[in-house]
Amino acid sequence: MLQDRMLKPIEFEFHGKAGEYFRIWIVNILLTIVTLGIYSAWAKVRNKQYFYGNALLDASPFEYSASPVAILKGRLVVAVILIAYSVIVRIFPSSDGIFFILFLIVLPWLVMRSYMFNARYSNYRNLNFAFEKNLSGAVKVFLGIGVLVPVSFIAFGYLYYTAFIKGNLGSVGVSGSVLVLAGILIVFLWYVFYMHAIQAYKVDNHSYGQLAFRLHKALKTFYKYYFIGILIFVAALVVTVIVFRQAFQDMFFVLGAGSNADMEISPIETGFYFIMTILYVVIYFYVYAYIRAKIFNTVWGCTALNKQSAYVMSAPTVPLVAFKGHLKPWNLFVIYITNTIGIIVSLGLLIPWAKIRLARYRINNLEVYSITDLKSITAVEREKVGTIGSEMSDILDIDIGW
Amino acid sequence: MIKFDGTYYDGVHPVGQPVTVMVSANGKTSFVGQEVSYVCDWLDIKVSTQLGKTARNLTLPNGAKCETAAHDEINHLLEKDSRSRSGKWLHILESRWHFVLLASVAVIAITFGMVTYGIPALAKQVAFALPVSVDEKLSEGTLAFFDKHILDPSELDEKHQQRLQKKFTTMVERSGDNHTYTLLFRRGVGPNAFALPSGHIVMTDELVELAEVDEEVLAVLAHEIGHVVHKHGMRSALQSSAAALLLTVITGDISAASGFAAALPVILLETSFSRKFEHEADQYAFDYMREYGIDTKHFANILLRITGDDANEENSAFTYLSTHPLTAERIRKFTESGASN
Repeated sequence: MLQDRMLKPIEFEFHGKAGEYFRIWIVNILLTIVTLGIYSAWAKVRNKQYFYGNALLDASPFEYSASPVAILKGRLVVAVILIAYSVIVRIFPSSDGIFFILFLIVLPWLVMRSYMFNARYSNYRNLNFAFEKNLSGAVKVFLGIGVLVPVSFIAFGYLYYTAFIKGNLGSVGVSGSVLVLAGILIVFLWYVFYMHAIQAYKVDNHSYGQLAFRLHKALKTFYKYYFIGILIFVAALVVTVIVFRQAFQDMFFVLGAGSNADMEISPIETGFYFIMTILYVVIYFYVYAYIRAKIFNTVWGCTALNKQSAYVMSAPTVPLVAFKGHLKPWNLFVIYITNTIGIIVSLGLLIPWAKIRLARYRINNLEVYSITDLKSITAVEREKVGTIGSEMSDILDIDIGW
Repeated sequence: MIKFDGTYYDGVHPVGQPVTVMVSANGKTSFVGQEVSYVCDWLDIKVSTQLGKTARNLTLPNGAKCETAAHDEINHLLEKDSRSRSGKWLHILESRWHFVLLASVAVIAITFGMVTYGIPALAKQVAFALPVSVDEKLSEGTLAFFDKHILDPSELDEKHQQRLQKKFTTMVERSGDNHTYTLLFRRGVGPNAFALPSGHIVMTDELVELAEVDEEVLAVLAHEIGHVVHKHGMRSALQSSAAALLLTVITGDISAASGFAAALPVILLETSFSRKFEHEADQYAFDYMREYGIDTKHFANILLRITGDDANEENSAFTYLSTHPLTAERIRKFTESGASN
């Protein structure tokens, strides 16, 4: 599709500077503290505006146009609900379960509302993005598919527990191992299916003017990269354990600590566990970066924008806008690691620097293709969207980043 | 008349058109380009605040938008009109390095002050304002969990248990505290003792066996009673959640840049909080022993025996992560003042 002559690459640049953003960031924090949190709504808008305003597609910036007052109202509502919740739970301790179920039921609505809010107040060249008010889709993804992830995990864990730890089925051997592997595989397959369903829900309900976003045939690639990610994780872990065990055993022997090492933990052993922990964190970070990079590339590579009517037709059409992601796992990994070290060493003062370089790396590695004449795209009238959904998920920190 | 360039977006098509903007002295503002000709009053235009070097947005009454980099001209126009100046002040704060430096120092000082003094003081106030029944609620289920998964029933002989129980009761009466104290004997997890916020104090057989005289056991019990009297359980729960909330509000969404860095300060804070509580409980034990004529050396002795050869742990790289203060440091207090007693 991308080779099509009608599609031309559009320049996509990020002009944010760490020093400049630092000043905005620190003023945001100071004013938030001084106003006892009230300014946080303005801080959020200013933050977003900075990143949007410095993302230039075809030399035009994006704009975040939400009103801080609306965000503040949303935050106050959330605060009241949280306070009411903690008071009621204190008075009626058994209501905890009811709240959990209520929260589960409200969750899809919350996610949908926060997508709607964010899209409605994101615009490019004075045309708004929008998110379809698709509640049944949200229920299907977050309740239908999502809830089954922990349920299948717990069910499998319980099965495993009763069969192998409580009962003495461990001696069953081969068939037992097959059962364990099958269980892990099912949970894994379902989890990746869920991750894909979230992205599909998110992409498919977004639109820009009369152009609709569509995620096309990404599931297989999702499976591929999650699978490779897990393989890397397991392989790296096994190799490091084997290599380091050997190295340390040699050291125990040389220092003569091997003979009575079974009773007390020697400094060498402490060092061994310390290094193992660090290696584990490093491997985890790498696999995390691997999956983030590959899924970013997959989601964007499979996303296209077209006029909504074009999707009604069954024949595949040439999209009006297409994307291509070029994130490299290793580069992303290096950014994550150096960001983390920088933030820790600077006691948090390098957070703005870390955010800027991550945003720059992402935007520099996202290609956008489009037909040359965008005049045929027009705006669509939309109703205003309340902010409560967005703020609720903001405070409860649901990860909805892509 | 003020004149500058901009890009005009009609709000219907995502296509920009270069325009010249002219604002006359009476506020008449015109946007003129090849296919654009629009006139309105300056005061009807919504002007975005200056933010770094990002483009300025003029939102027009007809739904169109004009993007421009002409910050000087726009700031000059805003000087003269009667609208709010807050945006201007924000930009001034954000663009002066000496102010930014001041803000950084203030933020670090406030955060540090809040975390080390403000939150602990507030948590203390709240913890003592809450009734004892809340402390009991906090420890609900904890003991049952330990009994099921970690601890075994005590194998200490009845007489020994009764003797210690009796001494424990005296200690509790002397404390004058209104928690419902219960001493429980259990086995497992090595020489150890811990207190639940409710006033349940669990002591392992291993610890009792390690003690050479009852006074040593009493010293440990006094330390544990100190935890309960000072409501450390409740305060620690309050402090940790308040500190985590504060750091989230201050740093915002740093998980976007690094997920690991977000968890670290909370872990470090909790260990530092916990060390302060150990000092407080030590102080309680110390005061109790001095008041009722128990040689404080007993505390030092049992502590030394519990930690074994690890007393010189200063050299360890993990010191800053440890939840208890350094043993040597704790022992010094009890031996020195014990000698002067």
